[in-house]
Amino acid sequence: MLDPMDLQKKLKSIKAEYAEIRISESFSTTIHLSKRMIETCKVGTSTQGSVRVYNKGCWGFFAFTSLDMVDYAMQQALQLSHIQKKENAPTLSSLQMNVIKEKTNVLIPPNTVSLEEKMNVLTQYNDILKDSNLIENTNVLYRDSLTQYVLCNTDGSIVEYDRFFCGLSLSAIAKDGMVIQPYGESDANYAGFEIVKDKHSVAEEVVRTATELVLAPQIKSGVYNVIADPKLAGVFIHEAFGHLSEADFIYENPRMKEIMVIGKRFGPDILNVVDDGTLPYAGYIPCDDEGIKPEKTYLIKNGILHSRLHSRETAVKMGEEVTGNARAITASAIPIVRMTNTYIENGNSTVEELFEKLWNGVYVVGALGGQTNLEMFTFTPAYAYEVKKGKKTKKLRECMLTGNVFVTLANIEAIANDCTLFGGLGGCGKQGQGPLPVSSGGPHILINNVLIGGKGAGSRKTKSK
Amino acid sequence: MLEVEKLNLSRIQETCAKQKTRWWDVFAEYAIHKTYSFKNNVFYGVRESEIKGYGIRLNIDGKTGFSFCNDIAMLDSVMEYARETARYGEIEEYDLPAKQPTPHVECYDGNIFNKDTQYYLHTLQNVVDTIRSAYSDCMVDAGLGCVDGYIHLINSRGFDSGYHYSRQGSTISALRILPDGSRVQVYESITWNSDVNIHELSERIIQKLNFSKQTVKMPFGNYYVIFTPKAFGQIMGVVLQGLTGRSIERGISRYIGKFGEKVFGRQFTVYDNPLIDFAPGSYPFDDEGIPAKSKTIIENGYVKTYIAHLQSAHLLHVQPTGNASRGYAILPQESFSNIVVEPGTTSFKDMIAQMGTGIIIDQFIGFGQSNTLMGNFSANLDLAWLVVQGEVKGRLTNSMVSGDVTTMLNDKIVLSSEREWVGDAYLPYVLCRINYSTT
Repeated sequence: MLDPMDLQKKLKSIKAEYAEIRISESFSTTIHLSKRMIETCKVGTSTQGSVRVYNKGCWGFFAFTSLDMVDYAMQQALQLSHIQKKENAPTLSSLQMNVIKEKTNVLIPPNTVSLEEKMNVLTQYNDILKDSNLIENTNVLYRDSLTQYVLCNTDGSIVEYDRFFCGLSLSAIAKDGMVIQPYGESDANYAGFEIVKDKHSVAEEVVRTATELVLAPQIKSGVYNVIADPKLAGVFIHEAFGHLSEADFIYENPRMKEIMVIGKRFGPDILNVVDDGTLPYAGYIPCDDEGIKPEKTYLIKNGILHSRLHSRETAVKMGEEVTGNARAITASAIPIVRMTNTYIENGNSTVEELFEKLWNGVYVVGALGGQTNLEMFTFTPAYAYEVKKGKKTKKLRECMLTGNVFVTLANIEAIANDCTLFGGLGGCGKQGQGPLPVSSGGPHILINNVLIGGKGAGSRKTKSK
Repeated sequence: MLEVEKLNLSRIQETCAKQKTRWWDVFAEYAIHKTYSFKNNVFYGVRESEIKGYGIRLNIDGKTGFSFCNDIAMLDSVMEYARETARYGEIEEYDLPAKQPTPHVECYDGNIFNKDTQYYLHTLQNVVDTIRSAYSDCMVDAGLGCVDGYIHLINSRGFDSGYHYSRQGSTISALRILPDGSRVQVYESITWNSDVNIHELSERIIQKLNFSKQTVKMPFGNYYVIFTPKAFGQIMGVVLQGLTGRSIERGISRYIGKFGEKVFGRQFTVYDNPLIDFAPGSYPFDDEGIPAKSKTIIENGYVKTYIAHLQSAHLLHVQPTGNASRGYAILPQESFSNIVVEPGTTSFKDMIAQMGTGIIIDQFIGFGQSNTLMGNFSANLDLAWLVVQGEVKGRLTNSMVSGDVTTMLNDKIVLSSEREWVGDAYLPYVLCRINYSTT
């Protein structure tokens, strides 16, 4: 790895309003087992870097995969930054100077665990997943990496971060006649091999759920009152409001600024939504990819829009404080505004009280994913339960929830007090950069009038007690 | 054109040849990308990158190991990693292809690199101005870029071949916030291995904004629907899932036992064709060295064949189809090349008239999140319009459609005579029936 002090010296010679160099060297292991075979067993190294230069409102960016290209990349990025000058472009420099040297705390560094031991542990999980006649295929996916990352910028920041990332995904595909049903669980974090050990019970749960779901009926399309579990509540808030809080969607759009004006009500008083990159989950960052420290940012406080997520450019252009949310998927990608650890804070109800309030409706559990266009969103639970008279009854498969962001936030009726955050081997995708490690979560939440897609067409409504 | 000697392939070849292996291959990639972008109607910046990477497979005692790196300086370590992973790799008893004649297909047009910065700035500014001359409140993001790339494959059986490819691509999106506060965002993109017509995209965007001036409602039910080529591209993703050797060998393809049977409407014929000059999915040989060839995947509704790379072809006792795809850091996987759907005889305009009352769907949200293994889908309508008596009335919001592709693409479907390239697929408009739900 190149010496950060040398990189900082190089930056001093560049004639730019703002410039940064980011370099990473990674060593990674990926293992993928399926029911019948070892799909992948690979170990590799990756070298990535970039130089980004800002002058008079114009960004020049050059990415590379060889450390001997740093000087060339600086020349190129500088040249590209002079392609067009803008009058009255704001300066983006001198925002924060951070000198950080950090290493992930791990109990078992993955690079000290032999491939043989990794294979042994994963094979045990795969054997559990295979242990049902209804299971047609299994997927045990393991990934670890050690990345040495350096960022230097013209604000004088030097960030050195040696990070371990480790994660596991266990899934099974059950088949009964013509019905094929996948189900899986995943966990990942900036951590060591300890987070993938002793997951036998998770594998057992995956098989149990997949084999139950393949025999379960499909949910009927319609409008329902729903309780979302903490995992799905996290995906909901990530999709429904987190992306809308990313200021790059707003900062130069006058109409969006009107809609997203600070102080506007977006939900009930009980709703508090936070993004916090300092928490020790998959979205943790010691510093963002522009050298700005993350912080606890309230997006919604007591139902009111409180603040938003910023890069240095969006913060300066909107006259707001930086929040440390400029993140890039790799050192050769451009930092853009991203979430970190995003969650709904605890409310004042118990989970039992939520079921009592729901009475009849649907309880949606787990998360397969979500997507938004900043007005409408979808999120897909792993499965659902029909709820009758406040009690969970039969399991239902294949449902997708969708709605209008603003209407759905306003339709949150109650929030429980069991907030939990979740990461995973997947992550967030935006503008071609994904999956970026993030976590999301919350407590159980009760939302009224959610459109669920499933079997047939419908607009049936469920009635609360 | 790229200086491919920078890849140092002779050094890698010598090192691999010294390893005690049953077989080995090296996949090397080298590409320079340059993209100009406008954000929120104004010039934003230029992004350039130069990427090199090497992926090395070693088959030792029948088991395959794999490693990769970006920097040739890491070659010795990478060989060691590949050897180590081979101890735990899958037993792979197939052989790699020897050097053999490959078909000719045009993948490179050097002319796209002759344009200067002013051309890009001027072209993108024109697109922004054209859209904003129709809708002055529109916020337009536009990108236009090109790739100068080279792929080279060598293996222990003497295969040693590479090809240059060029690529030009553009994505444009236009965002309007309507007076009622609703948000309309239309995006269009195009990729080609030669010059692209970016102005065609702005025309399409303006037409779709014209359709979206007002928001309308429609009760739930089963309706006629027209998928635009862009929306049908996502449907095709579900149709093709399960038509790979991997999914058949794993037992999770819904087409198992249905090859040679009629599954879709008789109008429905689909080819996989990597030999279309300058198309984005074209190549002379696949990423394992198998010569490219065109295949009929579905013919008049009958499911004819599936694609297979070396490993699944070996396990299923069939011939590899020339559809292996890999990156330098990724092992070969099966991937379709250019997907071509045969057109129909009805024009899009006549289709709308024929539909009477129904929906035109252009963009989904969350399409891939359904249980697509079963052929099912359930998705929110990001951009869709209500048609009444052949006239577009406005945009439908807060609604979704669901169904399964087999039931939907039955004998009653109508395919348009017009087709559009959507990524590496050449697709018509498709008229069929679907379940529609709304709040």
